[in-house]
Amino acid sequence: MTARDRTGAGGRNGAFQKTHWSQIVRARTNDPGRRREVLGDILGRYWRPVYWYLRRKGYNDEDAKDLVQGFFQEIVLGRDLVQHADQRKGRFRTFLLTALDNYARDIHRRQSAGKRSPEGGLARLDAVGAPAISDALQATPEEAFHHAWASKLLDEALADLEQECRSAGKEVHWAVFQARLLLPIREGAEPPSLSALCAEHGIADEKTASNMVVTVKRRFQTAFRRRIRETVSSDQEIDAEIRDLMEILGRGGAAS
Amino acid sequence: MRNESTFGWGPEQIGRLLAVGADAGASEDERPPDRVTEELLRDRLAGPLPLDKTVVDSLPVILGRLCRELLPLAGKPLGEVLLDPDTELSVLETVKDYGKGLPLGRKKGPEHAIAIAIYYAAIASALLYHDRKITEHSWENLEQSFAMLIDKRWLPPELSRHLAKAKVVCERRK
Repeated sequence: MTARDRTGAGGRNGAFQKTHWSQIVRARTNDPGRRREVLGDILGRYWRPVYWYLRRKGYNDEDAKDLVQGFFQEIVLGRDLVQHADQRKGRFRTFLLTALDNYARDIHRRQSAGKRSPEGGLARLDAVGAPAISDALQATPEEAFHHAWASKLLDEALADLEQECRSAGKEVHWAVFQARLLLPIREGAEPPSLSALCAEHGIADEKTASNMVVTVKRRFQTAFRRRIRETVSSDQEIDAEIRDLMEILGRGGAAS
Repeated sequence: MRNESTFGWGPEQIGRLLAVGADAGASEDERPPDRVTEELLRDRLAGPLPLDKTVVDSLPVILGRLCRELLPLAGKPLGEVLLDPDTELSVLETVKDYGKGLPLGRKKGPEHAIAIAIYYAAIASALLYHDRKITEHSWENLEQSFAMLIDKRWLPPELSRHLAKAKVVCERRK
């Protein structure tokens, strides 16, 4: 597994709601420094879904990395896609995938035209770290995209949660949450008993341990919703987006 | 498993974690709902005023000098900011927006209650400490909202007293 990409984008506690729509609009500036900064942020966060989509389309590692950069710089930011998109209704994920589909269809023509890599010297993706091999490799390009997208959001929510727990002095809460919930999901194993967790972490009783898990689960839910909110246009869309991702991942799980 | 990504997880594992994110599993919580809300609210009030790089970066564009006013408060507990008479009006407006911007979660759930409590506590502080109404709500609406919140069993006593004082101000003004 790779190190989780950490970013402060969105705010640990979500004080100011910022969506990726607004972020992209802000990138449409004549200030090259600002533009590069925003592009770097978006690229850092969403290169993986795009990369895996392209890999599943048959591109090798190096080509896919080049194309990812070209996609964000030339297509997402360089054209009028965002201005033409209905941001009030759109989900960033859908927008990105639609644009990516079009981009993939256009790639051969663009390849024959010559240069693909973006101008301006963005950090190369291989400097970010090679992506992990996963079940996404077996999926369709679209499934790989959604898988990587959901994974990224979950990673961000978990990073937020861990930071929140640690800064609040709730390291034991975090440890119990990991042991009782995250590890069993990852390993496909039975969760440890509450009594075992009490003994391991010096927790007074099982009820306290149970409450710790529930408290952190609630915080995880909040952190996850906050991250989802960055990718949709309104609070009302959050539940629909989560349901959508669960359905897509459910289909992928059934197929694999 | 700190610092590890979920990327290597299979679709089923990702789906299970998504399900956790979608529903925190309230049925497993043996605490009465009021107790849960109270604990979460206290937790939130004891937490630092949320300021991170992204927020600070966005402030110069959005709010100008507020950036400078807020930076010294980074890390200060939210409850302390709310109940401190010396807290700047602009900071209270920001905290109000923070309450407004909190994800509401399931309607009427604890996070919804917390967001509302923080939102109205900031409005109350602006009224009490700066004699300013930082909302477009009418005096009547504000008084009703304060009165409704004061009765909530999950509201910490110090916030309840705070809102009760603000309610008196609303009664006088309407």
